[in-house]
Amino acid sequence: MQIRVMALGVFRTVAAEFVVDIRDNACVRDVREALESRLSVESSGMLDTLARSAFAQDDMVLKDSDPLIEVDCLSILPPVAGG
Amino acid sequence: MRITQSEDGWFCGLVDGPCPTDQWLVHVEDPGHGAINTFYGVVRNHNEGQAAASVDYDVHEGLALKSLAALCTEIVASLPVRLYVIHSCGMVAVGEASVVIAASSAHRAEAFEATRRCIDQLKIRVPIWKREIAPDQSDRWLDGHTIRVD
Repeated sequence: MQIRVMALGVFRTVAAEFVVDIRDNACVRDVREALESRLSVESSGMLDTLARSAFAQDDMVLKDSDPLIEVDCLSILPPVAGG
Repeated sequence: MRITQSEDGWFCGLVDGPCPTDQWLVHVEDPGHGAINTFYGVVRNHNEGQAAASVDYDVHEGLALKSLAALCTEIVASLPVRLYVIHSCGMVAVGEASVVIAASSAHRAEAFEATRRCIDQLKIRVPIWKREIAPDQSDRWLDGHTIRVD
């Protein structure tokens, strides 16, 4: 299945959004690994930031083990720096 | 302004551009409160040895409002205060406020504590990102705190 990942913060320097192909019944970790593969080719300097980034569905921050059921869009949340 | 507020005595919001600094009083004034403490976070003209002209704030608005509301709820539940916090989205120039916090309480200690706790926690919990823009218009995203939950 395909998941759109909306870029926020520093990830906007790479793309406005990422589209990743993952297996059915996947979990958030699969999205992270798909992005890791893509960034390792296109933008390896972002891998450390990816490792410290969270994923959200709508207004909910997810764990890597959370399943993606009827989900087609996530947001990637790099380390935050408000104030 | 996009806002969330509670009858428990807190108000939070997101505003496009710089934060107004003249709107907090109505949200924290209370005849039983003898102390009001305010904090303005203001864009400065330098950071980490580099000149800065402005900051562009990127915000996950839904999650940011939810995070601000959770933060306010926690503070008001643990301290006898009324609390107001707003944060900017988008461009804010040097000298302009990007965050405004006000807290009132019967005595000063709780107002100081609520204000400090609010800005300290906002910086590490709320999904907001800074793109710092230099006078020559070059830019860089600033690093921050992870909000991974696992």
